[in-house]
Amino acid sequence: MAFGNLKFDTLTTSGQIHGSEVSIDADYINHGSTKHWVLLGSSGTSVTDSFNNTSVADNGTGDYTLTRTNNMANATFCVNVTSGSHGTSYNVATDTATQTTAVFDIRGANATEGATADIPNTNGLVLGDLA
Amino acid sequence: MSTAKVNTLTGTTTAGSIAVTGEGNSTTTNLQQGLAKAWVNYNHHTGPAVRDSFNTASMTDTATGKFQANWTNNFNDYLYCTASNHGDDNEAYGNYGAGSRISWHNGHSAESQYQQRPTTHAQGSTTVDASGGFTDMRTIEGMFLGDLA
Repeated sequence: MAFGNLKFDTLTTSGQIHGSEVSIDADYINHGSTKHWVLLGSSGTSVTDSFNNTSVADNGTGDYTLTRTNNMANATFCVNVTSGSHGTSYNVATDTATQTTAVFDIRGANATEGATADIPNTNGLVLGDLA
Repeated sequence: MSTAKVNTLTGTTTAGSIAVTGEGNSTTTNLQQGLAKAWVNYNHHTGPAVRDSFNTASMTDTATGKFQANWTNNFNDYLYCTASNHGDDNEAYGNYGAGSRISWHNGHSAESQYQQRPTTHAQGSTTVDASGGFTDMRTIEGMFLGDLA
């Protein structure tokens, strides 16, 4: 059976992975799906892989802005960023104050957080509501 | 239809691509791309032990402050996105947030210091305390997004 569009409130599957039937309200599919994710390159300023990301801007050492293709509904979305290096000297964080419906920021610093630093292979993802 | 009962969702135009209408009722997002393909809650300090997980076959304790997640169903390449945090710094709870950190090996360049890269079936990680030394941590939480094989 093929649908162009399927409208439903609850999705029930047989649980082929965990072995028992499971149901999920469609709200969790919408609100729980990651809306924007990005894996930056070794320099921190190129994009290795992404979803719903249109560009990265290099604002200076350890300061990148990620711009998405389809915007969020508001600027109060959730961001998680993770360092992608096996080194012992990297810290990454996001900057909530600069978030807009179109962008989020990733900031990098050295181990003591005493100076900004370009962090290689940083990951970032966004959850929240699409516009 | 209030409840759709299915075993597998498959796109009609492209099997591995299903559009979901966003919360604003206009933009669509891609179901497959937005789903976490694996997640794990791991105690590297005691056991070590996996508290709970999805699509994570096992965790390999490599060394102090070093471990590897092994996937049940593999990714289609090593270019996936990882989000993670740690809940404590061995037993030195005062350290977290003050320089202790977790990193997952996402090296994708030829530069030697970045060559520990993930594979389609596993990804390594390191945890470091505030003094910069590798440390086993009690709570490791990670989620992984990208394309399944």
